[in-house]
Amino acid sequence: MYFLFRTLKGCGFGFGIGLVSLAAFGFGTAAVGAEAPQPSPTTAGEPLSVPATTLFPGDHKAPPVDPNAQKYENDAKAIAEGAKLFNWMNCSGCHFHGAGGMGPAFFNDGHFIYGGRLDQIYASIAQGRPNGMPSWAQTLSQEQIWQLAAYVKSLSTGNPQPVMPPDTSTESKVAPAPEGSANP
Amino acid sequence: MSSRHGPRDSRLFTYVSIGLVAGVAAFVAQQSLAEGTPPPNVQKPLNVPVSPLFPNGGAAPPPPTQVKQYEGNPTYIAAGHAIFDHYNCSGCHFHGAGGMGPAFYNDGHFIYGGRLDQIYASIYQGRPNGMPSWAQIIPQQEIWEIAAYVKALSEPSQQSAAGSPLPLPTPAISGGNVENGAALITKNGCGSCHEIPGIHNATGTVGPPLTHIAGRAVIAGVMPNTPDNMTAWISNPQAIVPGNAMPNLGLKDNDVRDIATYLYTLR
Amino acid sequence: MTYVTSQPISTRCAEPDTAAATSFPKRSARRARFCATALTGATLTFAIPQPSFAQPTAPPAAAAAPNNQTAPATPDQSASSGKAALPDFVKKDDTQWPTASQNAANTRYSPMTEITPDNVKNLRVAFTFSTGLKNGEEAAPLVVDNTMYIVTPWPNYLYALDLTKPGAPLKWVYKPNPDRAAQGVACCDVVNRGASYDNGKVFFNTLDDYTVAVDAKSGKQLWKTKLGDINNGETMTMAPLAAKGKVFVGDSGGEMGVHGWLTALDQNSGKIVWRAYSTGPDKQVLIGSDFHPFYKQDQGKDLGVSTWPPDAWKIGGGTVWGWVAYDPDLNLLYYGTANPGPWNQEQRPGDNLWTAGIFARDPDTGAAKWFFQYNPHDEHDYDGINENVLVDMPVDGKTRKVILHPDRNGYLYVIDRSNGQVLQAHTYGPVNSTEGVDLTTGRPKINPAKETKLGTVVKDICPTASGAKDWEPSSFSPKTGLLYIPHENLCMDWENVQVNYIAGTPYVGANVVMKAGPGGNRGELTAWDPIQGKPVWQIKEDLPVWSGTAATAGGLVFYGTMDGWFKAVDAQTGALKWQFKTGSGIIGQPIVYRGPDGHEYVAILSGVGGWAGAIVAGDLNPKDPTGALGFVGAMADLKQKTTPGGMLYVFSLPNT
Repeated sequence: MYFLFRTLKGCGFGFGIGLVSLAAFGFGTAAVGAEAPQPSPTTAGEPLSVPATTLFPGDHKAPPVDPNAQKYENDAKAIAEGAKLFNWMNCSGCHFHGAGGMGPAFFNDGHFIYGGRLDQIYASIAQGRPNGMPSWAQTLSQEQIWQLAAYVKSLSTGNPQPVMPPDTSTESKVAPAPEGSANP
Repeated sequence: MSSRHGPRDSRLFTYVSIGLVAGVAAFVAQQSLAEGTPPPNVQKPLNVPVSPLFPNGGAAPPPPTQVKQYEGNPTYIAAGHAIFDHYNCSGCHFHGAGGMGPAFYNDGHFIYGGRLDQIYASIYQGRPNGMPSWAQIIPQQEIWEIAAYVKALSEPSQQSAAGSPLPLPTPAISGGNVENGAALITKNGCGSCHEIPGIHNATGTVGPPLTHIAGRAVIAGVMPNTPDNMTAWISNPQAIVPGNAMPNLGLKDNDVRDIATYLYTLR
Repeated sequence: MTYVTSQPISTRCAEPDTAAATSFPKRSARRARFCATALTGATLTFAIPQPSFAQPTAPPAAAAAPNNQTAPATPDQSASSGKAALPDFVKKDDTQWPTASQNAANTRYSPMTEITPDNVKNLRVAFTFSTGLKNGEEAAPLVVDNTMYIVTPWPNYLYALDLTKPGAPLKWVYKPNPDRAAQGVACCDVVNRGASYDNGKVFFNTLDDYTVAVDAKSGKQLWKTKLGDINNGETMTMAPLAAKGKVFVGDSGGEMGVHGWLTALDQNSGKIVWRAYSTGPDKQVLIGSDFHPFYKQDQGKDLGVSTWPPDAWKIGGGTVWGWVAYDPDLNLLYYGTANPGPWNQEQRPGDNLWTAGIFARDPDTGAAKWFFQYNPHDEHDYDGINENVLVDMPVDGKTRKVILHPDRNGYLYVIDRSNGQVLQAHTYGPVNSTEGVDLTTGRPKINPAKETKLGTVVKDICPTASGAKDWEPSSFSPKTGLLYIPHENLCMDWENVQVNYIAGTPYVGANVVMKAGPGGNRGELTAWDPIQGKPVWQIKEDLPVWSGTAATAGGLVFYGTMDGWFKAVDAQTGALKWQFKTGSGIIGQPIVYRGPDGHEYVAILSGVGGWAGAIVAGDLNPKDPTGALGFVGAMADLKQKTTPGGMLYVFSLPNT
């Protein structure tokens, strides 16, 4: 070990090794294509511990919401990050900007098929759902999924602002083709 | 540290150590982002996908070790069967047919996935259209056992009336004459190919024995055992399975009906 | 080697010895029919004909009023005409259908006469409407004020259709957003039996235990009251009855260990006015000093506790998921209570009051006035919730106010609705689980060979668990004096098993397989003469008749089959006069109404499901015949005969 240090002389090298260590162990965001995704390592936001129903037999009640919910829900920064991810990860390709499309609408007055608690939305994103929602746990970090969930929930409960307001003018903006021209 | 080494080496070592410590701290800090949850329980699979879609070229994560341990294991399957009734699972799913809940006689087609850990997840978490969440009641080992039993039920080979606690009801043909049916069976020599209870000398081994034919679920290996199918088969077996060993006897409809009536007394 | 023939089940082995068992003397049938015909003919000869729409007027002697008009109201002639009649309080000229059971007497008889046995062959589709759902459509559409109201199975949309415009376009839809998990505690498909209209409001129930009031014109929600909890296994599927400023609703969940109740809500505020439980101490059952049951075994204190093992009444069922009737003259509400829970009778020794019986209550306070138990210590899931049709009928020369009730246990009860006395109880289908009803006590005589046991399969019990008839309601025609009963012909094998009570999960404890009854036909339509106490004609159907019936003054009875045929038969003879193949099996309730143009319309929801159709609605696998509480065993061929899909069909005669 000491021989190694002796050969790598200079503070630059020292800092360099430290930085490399940081990079190797530290805040890797597992951006798409950047590096191999981390397997879901520990307890944080375990999707499995989140119920996907309101039925709890034998007089039991729903377990308390995952503590992360408090941290992320209504957090402006998380929601903003989530909004960016929503487009970047192509969520908007299926869900559009509230209306839904291939996927259900998030302008939904809080009515989610698999539950509207923040941890339930997390679970739906992480695990996927059978009718077409992909499983993102292999691709996204837990923090990213929490941020997305926070954004989706804000869409559902917040004042829905259409991304592109509907066009209320009555006249078509397209100029009619000149008489006699071929149809495109 | 030995004083053999000069101050520059010490500094270098310090920087690296700081870097390592910082790196480790960063690692730990990232993990404790989701703080406040209890430490992992290694019995629980942490992330069970409920979709076959994995974006960006991803794939399903490897199954947790419990899958290999519990799947297809007769001991666990038997244990799961016992628990299945104990927790009233049969109250919704009955014994394969389904009822309030979907059928498990499903050739492996589960809404939320048929891998053992997916079945586990469905029981553990519940599902939105009426499957309760059992995580707080059933110990994890027992959930694995139930999942093993449910998965065993879903195998196509498991689907038989014999698995059900009560057998299929005996089909009935109205208007047929049992005695005439027996006479026709004798007259047409069915016994030269089939063993048939109650018919003199009916001990043939060309075709399958017709003992308990009334209670069997399938005729000729191809059709559900219903009166219509039975009479169709007796009338024209060659049309249903061309080339099979049972000949067309050219029987009249009334005769076919009487023969079927006799056969349906063989429970 | 000898062979064993199948033993035929005695079809009438439980027919009571009429001389001993009935205190009602035999009446000369011929004399009664002659009087009826003569009187009807005489009355109609003097009716003043109104202008008609190019239809031939019927000859005066025939029992047909001038076309396109309702039959003129006849005074109560039942005592001398020898026929049962509509009670006085029923509006005789009501051509609307304001509540699922048509009216508080549950008679389902339309005074419309435009469609007759002669012209019904020309009936054709006037318009349709898709509910977009694949579960069973059990509802009756309502027609009030030229608007049709339809409640769908979960998610329980309420649609309002504008009947004044061609094609009856949608006016509005109200969506209550019920919890989807409620689907998991509904025993018998996620059905809903319809709404009730009163005072400008439409009332209906959601699967997840809300009663909702919606403004009939605008569709705006007025109030929504929570009545139960799916985590207790409770759901709501019944059609309410709105009357006397209140809405009367009941719960479902007899297979889930629920504590059954009937609740009265205030129509304006939605607040709960009173709730009467079906089991438990008198205080909970609203039994007080006003309670006068007719039979001795129902007299005593806190019988809703003492006829159960300790605390078993709390999960004892007795739910109220069927029909509610109301007599405003006697000021009495009538409804039945469902089976005791669990199905395994050995886990609940005792008579299990007040399940499987009929209550009469004061509608204002809920106080119980009388009670009669059809099936003390029921062993076969014979709920008491079937319809109570209120008619006035001659008994021993005097007109008596009675209830006609075809029970699950196979007996057609005629009960005095003022005091709960059973006047008659004859079987209307094959019965071997009992051997007659003793009219001095009201109790059926149990057949020990068909009692259900732990660890033993008892075979060929008739009728089956869903009864000789389940919830599907009959209709009554005062013209023929007959009750038109849609029902099953099914028997069963049954084995008790031990069951644990876990709140929110099924609490049954029995393995059951159903099968066709004697004769092989699984369904039947019976025209029943309540005075004679026997059928006049019967139509056998391959599949159980799980739809309701509606009778008309025009002389027809409408009903549907589980493979989708909607049929009109002659009310007198049962002859099939018209049928139309709809897209899916029919388990709904037909209604008849006058449209805005004055013509007669017949409406029915098609869409197979319900308990009998669960194999299709749930895509179940018949290789396990115990599925869906045994119905899978009897319906293995249903998937071949029909497919799911909810659609409203409305028919009328061509009039262009």
